[in-house]
Amino acid sequence: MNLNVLRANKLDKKCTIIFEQGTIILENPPSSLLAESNDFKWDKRTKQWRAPARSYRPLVEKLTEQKVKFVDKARAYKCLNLTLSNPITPRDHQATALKEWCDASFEGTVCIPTGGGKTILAVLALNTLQRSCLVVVPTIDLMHQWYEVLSKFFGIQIGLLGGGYKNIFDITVSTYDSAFLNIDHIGDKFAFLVFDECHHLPGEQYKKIAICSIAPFRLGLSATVERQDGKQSVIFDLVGPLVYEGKIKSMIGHGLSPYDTKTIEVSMTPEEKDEYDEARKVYTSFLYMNKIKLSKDRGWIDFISIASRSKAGKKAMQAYRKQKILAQASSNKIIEIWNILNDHPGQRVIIFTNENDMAYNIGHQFFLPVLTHKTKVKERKMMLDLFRKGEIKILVTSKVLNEGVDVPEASVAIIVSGSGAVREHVQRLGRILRDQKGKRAVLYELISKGTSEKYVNQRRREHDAYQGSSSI
Amino acid sequence: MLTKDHLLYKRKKDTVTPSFLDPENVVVQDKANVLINLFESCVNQSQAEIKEAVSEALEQYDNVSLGFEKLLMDRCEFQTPDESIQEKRWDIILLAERLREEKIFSSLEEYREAISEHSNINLKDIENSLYCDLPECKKVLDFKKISAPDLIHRYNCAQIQGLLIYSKNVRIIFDDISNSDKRSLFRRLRFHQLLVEVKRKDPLEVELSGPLSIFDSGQKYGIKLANFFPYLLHLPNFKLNAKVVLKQGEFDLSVDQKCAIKSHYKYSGAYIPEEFEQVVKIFNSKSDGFDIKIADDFLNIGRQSYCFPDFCVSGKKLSKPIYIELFHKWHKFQLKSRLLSFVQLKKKPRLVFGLCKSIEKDGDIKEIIENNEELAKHIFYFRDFPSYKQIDKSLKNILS
Repeated sequence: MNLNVLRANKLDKKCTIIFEQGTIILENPPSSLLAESNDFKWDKRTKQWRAPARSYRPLVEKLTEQKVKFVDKARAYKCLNLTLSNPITPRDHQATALKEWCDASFEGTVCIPTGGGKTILAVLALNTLQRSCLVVVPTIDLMHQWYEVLSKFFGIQIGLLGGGYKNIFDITVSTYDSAFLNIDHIGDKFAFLVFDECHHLPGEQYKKIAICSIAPFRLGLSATVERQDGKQSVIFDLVGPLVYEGKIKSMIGHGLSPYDTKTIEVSMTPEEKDEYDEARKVYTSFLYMNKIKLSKDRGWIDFISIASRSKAGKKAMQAYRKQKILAQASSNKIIEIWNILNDHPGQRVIIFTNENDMAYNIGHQFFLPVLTHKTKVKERKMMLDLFRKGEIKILVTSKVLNEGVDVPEASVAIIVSGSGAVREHVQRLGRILRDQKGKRAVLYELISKGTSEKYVNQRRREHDAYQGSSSI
Repeated sequence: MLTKDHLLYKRKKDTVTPSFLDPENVVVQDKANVLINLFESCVNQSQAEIKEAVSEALEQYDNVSLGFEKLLMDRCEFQTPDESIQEKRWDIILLAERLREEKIFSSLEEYREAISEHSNINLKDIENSLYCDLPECKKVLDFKKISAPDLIHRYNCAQIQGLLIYSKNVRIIFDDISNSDKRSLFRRLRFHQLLVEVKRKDPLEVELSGPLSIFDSGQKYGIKLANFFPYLLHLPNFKLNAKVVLKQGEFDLSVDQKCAIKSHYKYSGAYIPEEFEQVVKIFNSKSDGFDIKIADDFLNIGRQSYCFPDFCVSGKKLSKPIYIELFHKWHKFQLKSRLLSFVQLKKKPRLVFGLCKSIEKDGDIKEIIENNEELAKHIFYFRDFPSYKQIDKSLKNILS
């Protein structure tokens, strides 16, 4: 209860909506509404009708439909007067996606491959809505990138939340982590939520951002909205249905550059191979003895659970890690990286690894800049700026550049190691696909010969983007 | 706090029991002391070096050791890295970039030698210094000392905190809790932004949660509950029951004061100022109709507002006691919230607010009082502490 509400209630016992810590409270509700609503529950702790903040839009729609007069004390967001400083002519797929989203009452998820112009689509949507907006992004690098784009197009002060910043303005860009930590207090300040790389949203914590905000307008953006656990339904529920889906192959030549993917098998040194075989034997014997099949749905969970109960199990787990690292970081991969770099002199190259240790090992060997989650905000910004300008041409990273960072000039990617997740590899491919005149991108995958990395490679290639090179 | 990997507990049917260590056990103390001694001499060492030293010092690098190590690492103050390291790194990176542009090297070795030659630094030194400002390379500046028994208590407490992070439906029962402890408890719960539902008043039984928990039992307030828990250890006769959601299912966690864990939080408690005793003494010596005493219970005035009156007035003329709550200028925020809750109540409690004169002119508070005639009857003003006359007049006012 705040003073404004007291003033409002004093004048009339009107139905009143109040925002409180990620929920909305309904004072003096019409009984007809409560009978129909599944969202509101009687909170006996505070003796009030309460609903998650995301119920704000359906509530307001219902009250308006029933012609109930109400005092809206929940809404702290503003109508803005935005103008685009640079006119945007949307590409065909962007125009279609925007129309579909508008037709879906400004709530929906758009799936466009990396390089397809998701950020521009969000700028167009924001320009259409003219309301306070929170853009939620997975990494600090993306936060800075969105900040630059929004500042450039709207020419107003843009807020930042995350990476040491806490400046909330009418348009604010936040990391998922910071939005999660602050949504209880800022859930009433934005009418429009944009979830970049929205496949992150279904996480137990992150989904609270969507639940605890009153924002009536929502846009989810992703290159790969499908999740292995099937939780994309959570995105559709909290953000809106899939309103547009574009495929990589169909966009080659229309915003995306043509590309080749090449797999290179690298032999391990005899010492490494012996160590690998020994470790693999320990781990596979344990699986066999305990009748664990990793190909089954619960295989991996069974392995962790059974391994934690005995000394032999713990040894098997250690052996599993050892053989994985040996395969991912075999020393001949360093030689192969050297060869690839020599094949692409002067080109912009991103080297991806699975582990930070390998990334720093490459950094040490080649004296290259390494960008990981350990890199400080200022230095990572400087690193990306220099890479964009071409003052440094090779960047080594583990996973932090998997998503969204926009460097159109990058044309070569070297996957030294990675997980078997299809999404990770499509995203890594996306880093080099932004269209530029005459560009043909190439993605190399380094696989240690005779190791389990070949299965990882097979899994990645299930995605249509990996099935052969592009036809152009 | 400890992470999931450090937690040690036993599951039996539907219950989960943290594996506590005995703070008096010499073997455990020895293990703690080995690590404490190692950390006490860790100044100028890096995190990676400390970890290596720990693994060498202990025969068994088990989960308990890892837990101790994490808690001790949290007590280290690390140096801010030398900015010149970054500058030197970029000198090398840009030099390497330039050399790659200028020349095609026949081998990696030739390229590396060229970097060393042009920078006038030998290869080993370049490698050692290139990324020596990574977190694991940061050196320890200071270590906050702790005794072995205190570390073990801290470890035991962290075991419960670690489980509470995954908890829901937390209930606490207090047998025989004093008014000052109750006051302090509710203040702490508010500080940790936890919602509390009083299930029973005698013995006091509360359920802790957050606003969203009524919609989604998965919405946990674990971190807040975990941060609150060490405070609970200061209170006598508590019994905490929680449902803990682990991968294997839901389990009951029960902890009470018998766990005998020493809290690492400072306890300020809620002492009664001497001036309050003086108010009681002076009032009772002058009044013949009313009897005043320090209040010993709280009033639930709704909307998560629990009022802890300072005084309770009884007497022949009163069928029910009247409570008095005093607000000084540093209570301005609480006062505003209390008055707003009070005016919303349909049935007003027999409660009188004594307001320090310095807050009389506060805009918001003045507006609330002026707009609510009934509330005005429940208010009196005093300078430092209320006099006999001020209290007596306010009581008569409310009775009229």
